[in-house]
Amino acid sequence: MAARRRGHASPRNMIVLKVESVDKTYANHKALDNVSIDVPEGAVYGLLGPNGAGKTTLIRIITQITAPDSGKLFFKGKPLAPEDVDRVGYLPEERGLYKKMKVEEQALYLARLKGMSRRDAIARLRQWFEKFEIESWRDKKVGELSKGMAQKLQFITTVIREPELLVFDEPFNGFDPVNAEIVKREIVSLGQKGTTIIFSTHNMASVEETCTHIALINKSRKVVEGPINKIREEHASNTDRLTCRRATDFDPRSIAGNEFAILSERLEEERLEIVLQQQAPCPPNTLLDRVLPAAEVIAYQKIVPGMNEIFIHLTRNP
Amino acid sequence: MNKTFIVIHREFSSRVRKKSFLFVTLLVPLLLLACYAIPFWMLVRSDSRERVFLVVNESAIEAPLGNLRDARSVYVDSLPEASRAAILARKDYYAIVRVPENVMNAPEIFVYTLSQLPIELKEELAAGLRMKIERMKRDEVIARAGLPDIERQLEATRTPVNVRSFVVSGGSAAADGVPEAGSGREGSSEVSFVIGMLGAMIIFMFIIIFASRVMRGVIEEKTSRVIEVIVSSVRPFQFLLGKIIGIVAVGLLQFFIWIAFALLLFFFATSLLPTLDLAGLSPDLRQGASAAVLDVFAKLDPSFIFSFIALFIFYFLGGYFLYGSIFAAVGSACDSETDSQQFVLPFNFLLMIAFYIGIAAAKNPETSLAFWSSIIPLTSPIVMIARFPFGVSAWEVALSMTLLVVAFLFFAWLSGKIYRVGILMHGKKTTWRELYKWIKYKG
Repeated sequence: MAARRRGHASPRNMIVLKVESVDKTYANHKALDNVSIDVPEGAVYGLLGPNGAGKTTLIRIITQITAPDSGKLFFKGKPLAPEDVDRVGYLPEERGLYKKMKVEEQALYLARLKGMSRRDAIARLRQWFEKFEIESWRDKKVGELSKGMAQKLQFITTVIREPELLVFDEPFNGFDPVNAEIVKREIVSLGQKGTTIIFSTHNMASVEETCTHIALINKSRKVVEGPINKIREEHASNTDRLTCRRATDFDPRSIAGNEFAILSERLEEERLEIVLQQQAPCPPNTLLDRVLPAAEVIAYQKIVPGMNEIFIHLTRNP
Repeated sequence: MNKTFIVIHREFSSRVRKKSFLFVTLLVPLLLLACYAIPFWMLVRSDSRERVFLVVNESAIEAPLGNLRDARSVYVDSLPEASRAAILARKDYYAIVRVPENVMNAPEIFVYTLSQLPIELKEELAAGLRMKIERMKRDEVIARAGLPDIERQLEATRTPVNVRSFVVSGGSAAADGVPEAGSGREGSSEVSFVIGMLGAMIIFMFIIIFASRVMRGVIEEKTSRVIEVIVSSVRPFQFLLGKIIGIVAVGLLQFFIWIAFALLLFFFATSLLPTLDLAGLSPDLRQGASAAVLDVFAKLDPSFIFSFIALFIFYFLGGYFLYGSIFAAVGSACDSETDSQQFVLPFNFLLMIAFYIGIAAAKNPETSLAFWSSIIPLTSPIVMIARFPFGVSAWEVALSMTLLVVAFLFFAWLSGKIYRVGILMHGKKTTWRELYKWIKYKG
């Protein structure tokens, strides 16, 4: 355990999962077209894309449920082998369990199919049941559980093995807001413990809160991939918002110079809000250097676009 | 492989622990037993109550009612009409029968009872008297014709023919040219027929029942969506194998319980039978019955019994695995059991045909239809078992077995491909054409 508590700032970001030029064609359409992704160790990796883009297909290839038509996959540097299924946990989008099996029995069965010994599985299960406060369900049949309860159980069966790679397909779908929050918290905490996580979603808010890396897939192709911060920076429009106290002798044009264009200027009581866009290269902090002697600064902010905007922007014009 | 065992264990234990398992396992033999025991019990029971008829014989015929099966008769010459009710009320006699004086010419008798006379007794009384009168009339005719010996002579013309069939063991006897009488094993077509047909019937039923169970299991996993998690942990082929084995293990367990039950009953019955006084069966008949049973066993070569059992198990499992894998593929392509009909129908039809050919083959195993369908894998498990008791040459059995194994491997591979794709397809109705496309997908 200690060795795995590395967090996502691991020294050399080793690639846990490498997908290399994967193609997959179904009867009439190409589900994946030359898709490659690299998932670094400890990353919480968001797989984004509109419905039907090929996310689920990619996930099923990663979990070895289906095979690609061509292309290669590597797990920790070695070609992905059938035995690796035990090291990958998977929560599919459409969830379901044996309705007639009892809760504990069901969880043990799935855990043992993942290669856990019975004793280990029982011990871990106990911890998770305590954590989710569901010990009283143990002998209930799955069919008697509410949908949300069953989903929690399924989440437990996915993570109980403590696999090195966790794959969630739309993990927040089907959970009510409270349970979705619990699941999100668990995902973040698993990520902090060093588990590498891939999850697909089109819920952009959850991406911003949880992901360290993302890949955007649109129309069977990968559009963009990388650390989330880097992608946001790349899509930054180089605009800054500057708010300062109004002063009679302060002229925004004096700080803009040739390098910045003033997009808007708004006066609100004693505050002056200016939005500037950088036009020419200049050293960082240029704007602040100029404004500080001239006016009393209340706030300064680089305007970074939300994932939602990036997503929409990229899927419209890749 | 370890994972396959986990799957087998779940499939087995989840079914065995169901209440319906206990129910069926106990209920089926009880029902079967009841089917035979109730009529037998009724037969024995009717003997337990002895009825005595008081027969007022006014005719010249001696003992006009003859021997009655269910009753005894006490004859008197006359009885005052008034005392009838009083006599019956004492319950010493069940009925009073009056045989009138001119019964020969006007065959009519009168029966007085406290309650309605049962039809059975009525018929028995009529039959007894009829035989008596007919015999007397016939004797008269024979006497008048002056042929005192005719009856015995006619009796002597009856000629029962006994066909004793022998199965000549292949090489040596054929070389001798003429098989001597008594060489080779004396066969019994009747025994072969019964064994062959029973075997075919059991295999047919087990395949239908258990292959459908496989299909239902697959559909259940697909519709409940649990399958996607499972195939992310176990390879589909391993999983399917575990499922098919687990389900048949349940069936075999049930089967063995029934066999044990039957054996127990058999020993119980045989130890009890001699002490049982079967009034309905004459000692002759009883001896004849046990002799017939012994004869059946005598006509069964022990090596035949052994090879038949071995073959039965092989074809039972072979057929089940073949159809089980097909039905699993069908289940994977369907969203519900009702959807499955279009795909299952041809195979159920095939099984039915095989069953009917099997029955026909048990009557005449030498038709070319019986031959070919005992070679072709989809029908061979049923038809070969029906044919085998009549003697099938080794090469035919070997060919049929080999083809069955090859067919199983082929269908398992094919079904595996369909299964991998099918279990993840939801919502749209599958067509045969799509199934064909799935086979070509890279799994």
